[in-house]
Amino acid sequence: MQILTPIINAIISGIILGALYAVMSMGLTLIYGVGRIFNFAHGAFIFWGGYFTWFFYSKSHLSYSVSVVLAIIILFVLGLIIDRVMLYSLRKKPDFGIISVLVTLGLAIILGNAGDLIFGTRIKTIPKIIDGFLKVGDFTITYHDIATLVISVAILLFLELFLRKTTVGTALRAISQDNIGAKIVGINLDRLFAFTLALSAALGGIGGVLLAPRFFIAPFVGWEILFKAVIIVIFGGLGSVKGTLISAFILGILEAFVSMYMGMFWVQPMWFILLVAVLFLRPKGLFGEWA
Amino acid sequence: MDIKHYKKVIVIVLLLFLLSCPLFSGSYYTHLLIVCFIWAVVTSAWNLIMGYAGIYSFAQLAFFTVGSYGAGLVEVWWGVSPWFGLLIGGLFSAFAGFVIAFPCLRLKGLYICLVTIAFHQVIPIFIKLGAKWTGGDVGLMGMPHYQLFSYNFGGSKIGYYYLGFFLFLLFNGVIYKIINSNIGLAFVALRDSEAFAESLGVDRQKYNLIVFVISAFITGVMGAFYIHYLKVATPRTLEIEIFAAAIMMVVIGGLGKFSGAILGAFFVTFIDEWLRTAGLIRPIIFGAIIIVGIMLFPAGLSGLVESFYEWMDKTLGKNARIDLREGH
Amino acid sequence: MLEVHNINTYYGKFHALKDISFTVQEGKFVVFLGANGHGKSTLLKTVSGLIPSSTGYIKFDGVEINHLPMHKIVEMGIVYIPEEKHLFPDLTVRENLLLGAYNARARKEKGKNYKLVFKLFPRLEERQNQIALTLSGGERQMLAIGRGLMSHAKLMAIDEPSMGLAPKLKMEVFEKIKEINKQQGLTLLLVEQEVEFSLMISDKGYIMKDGRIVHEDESKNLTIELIQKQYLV
Repeated sequence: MQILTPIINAIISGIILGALYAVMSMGLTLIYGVGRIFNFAHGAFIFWGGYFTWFFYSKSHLSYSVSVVLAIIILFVLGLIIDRVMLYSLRKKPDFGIISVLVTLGLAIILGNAGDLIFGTRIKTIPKIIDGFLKVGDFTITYHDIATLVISVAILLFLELFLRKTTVGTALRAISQDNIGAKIVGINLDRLFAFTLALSAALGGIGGVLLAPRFFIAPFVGWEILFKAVIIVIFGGLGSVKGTLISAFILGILEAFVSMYMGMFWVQPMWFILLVAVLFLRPKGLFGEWA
Repeated sequence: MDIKHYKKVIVIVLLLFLLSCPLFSGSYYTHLLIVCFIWAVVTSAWNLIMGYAGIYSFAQLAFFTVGSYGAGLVEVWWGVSPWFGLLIGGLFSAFAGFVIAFPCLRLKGLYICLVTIAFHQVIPIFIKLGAKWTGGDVGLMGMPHYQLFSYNFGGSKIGYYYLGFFLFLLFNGVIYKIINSNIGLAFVALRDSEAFAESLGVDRQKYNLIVFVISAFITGVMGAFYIHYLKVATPRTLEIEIFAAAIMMVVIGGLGKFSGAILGAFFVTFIDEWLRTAGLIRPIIFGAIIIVGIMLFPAGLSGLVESFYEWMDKTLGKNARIDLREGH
Repeated sequence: MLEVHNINTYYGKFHALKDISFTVQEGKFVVFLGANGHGKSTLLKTVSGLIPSSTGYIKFDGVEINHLPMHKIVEMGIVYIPEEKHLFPDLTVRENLLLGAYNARARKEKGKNYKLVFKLFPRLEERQNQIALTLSGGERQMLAIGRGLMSHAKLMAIDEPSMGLAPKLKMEVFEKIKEINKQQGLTLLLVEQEVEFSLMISDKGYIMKDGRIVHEDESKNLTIELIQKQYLV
């Protein structure tokens, strides 16, 4: 039993991490699948989820839940605005591929540094969802982690239901499979592109809120998180929701094991090696992508 | 006649101006221009890959840094002459370009982007791992100054200025020749109609590889030059601020335009200097410029220049046409 | 119902449609014939809003549609069924059809049209839970037309539906298209290479060459010999 304990701990940690990573990265895969945009600013969305929450909670003294909800709403609206103001007019251009990369990079730079500018460079924190921990035999889990898991899974389930059962959700899947076909059935692509970016930002934001207690809230964290989200999404297959889901759990568990058995120091290199390996050996990832 | 004539005249005037600059401008502007020369070449070289070959590579700064450290290491630890260092820096970088080109050849646009960014991210790791030789974050120092016969460049900026100017002319000349040569034509053909070009035997892979290696070599040489001028080589050239500035240069200049790369580099270098005291807002302005540049000025500065030439042609057009009729 | 006046369409510098003008009355079945690359598909794409035109206008039920985005044109009642079909490969037959009714007007009639499509194409009903990728060529064509029907359109523009199908299937497709025109009263614009069959089922034929309409007449007056003369002119 003794030997199993750390393994089970790692698996549990890994699953919680995986669920969290799935929520965090889902937006990136969605906006690529539907809008064919690789959103380099996604890390900023994630990080601003934490930032806005911190702002409302610490500065405006609103309750934790209200802060979170407000933060998500703002990010959703931000996504709509960014799409309408920037991407809408650029979409018609033939070299939209490289243009979208450059624009999202520019956006990432602005958003990444805006935090420092507006709120100062001191590190910020937000509280856990619930304090305290649960002890079951040899295992200890914090209530926060359980809450994270429950919330993440709930969100992922809602997303799946949304994509499978609702008209808009099915329309999004349709756009990602054949966007001329989508035009033919009368889908208003521009509107749905904006919605997808907004949804993507909101999901990222939720990920950021759940992630924040584990990291500090600081801009460089945005790039590090983007880095992980990128690897997760590519490993799973860019544009594939299923792929991102599975990939997030696999890599979450992997990270938990690496962290436990090799130490925290090896986590960053692990991700890096994964990135290089995937890009060189199977860039399509587990589930390929809808090209 | 007309547009081409004006262009030649303006370019010659500018070059003469640059040639004589250090004689009347202070140390500060001489410094800025040296930096401009360096980045103009790097941006031009990057433009070959992004603008002409259409490859979304973000490895340029990595090539620059590889060239810097390549030259720096052999000079500091093996006592190689700094003139050779330039060449060796270029070769190290060319090799890196060669290696990186291979995965890029078989990947689609976006993945090339990611691979090259990953390459960019991995370099500092190696620099830190080899800190014993590279000096890690502190940097590599101790590269000797250039020496031409009895003149040591270390004294003032003038030597560096003219060497920088020389490299600027040399490499931009080379790049210009490439763009207007078979290679340049090959890329235009591939862009206009890939299938047709390939049926004529234009091998995209071969040309992509050539462009990568040449671009990397040129960038590496400038990297070597840069660290001699700065007297230190650090991984800071890979940080987000310089990355953003480099992107700005390409974007502002106008993607895919030769003159654009040079104009962009000069413009951004001066803006960067001007904003040096702006503190935290600086990167935000950079990001905003990138976005506004792409959205409102896709043809960039070179587009504006073209419009200017067209305007000149129109207003002075009557004279030009008369010239034509009489023969040049 | 449909009035096309002086349409010119370009692909970059290539002048694909030159001064195209014609009208189609409600309920009529019109076919466009001509060799490949002479503008037939481009014509349908321009009418349905997939490609913009640079001059002239297109009026549908009196309303100018040529500058409208495609989803608005679909809303108004024109649906385009392209040669490549553009089905959603990873969605089921059912999902493909239901998406066909995406526009607001069609949503109310979803149930009715769904039954209609299965009555017309019983094989689709058998396969309704299969993903589109797994269908045969003929079934895909049926799905494409069925999806078009779901949009509750008044005018359907179909591009080479018989392409790549075995002769028996071709006949079936033509029969179904004729049925749609007769029973539902849908106005049809058809582009085809199968000259004989098309003329048999249509009311009027237009011959296109080099992006222009070079001849038009009622289908019963058009013969293969006459058309060949036009092609070779």
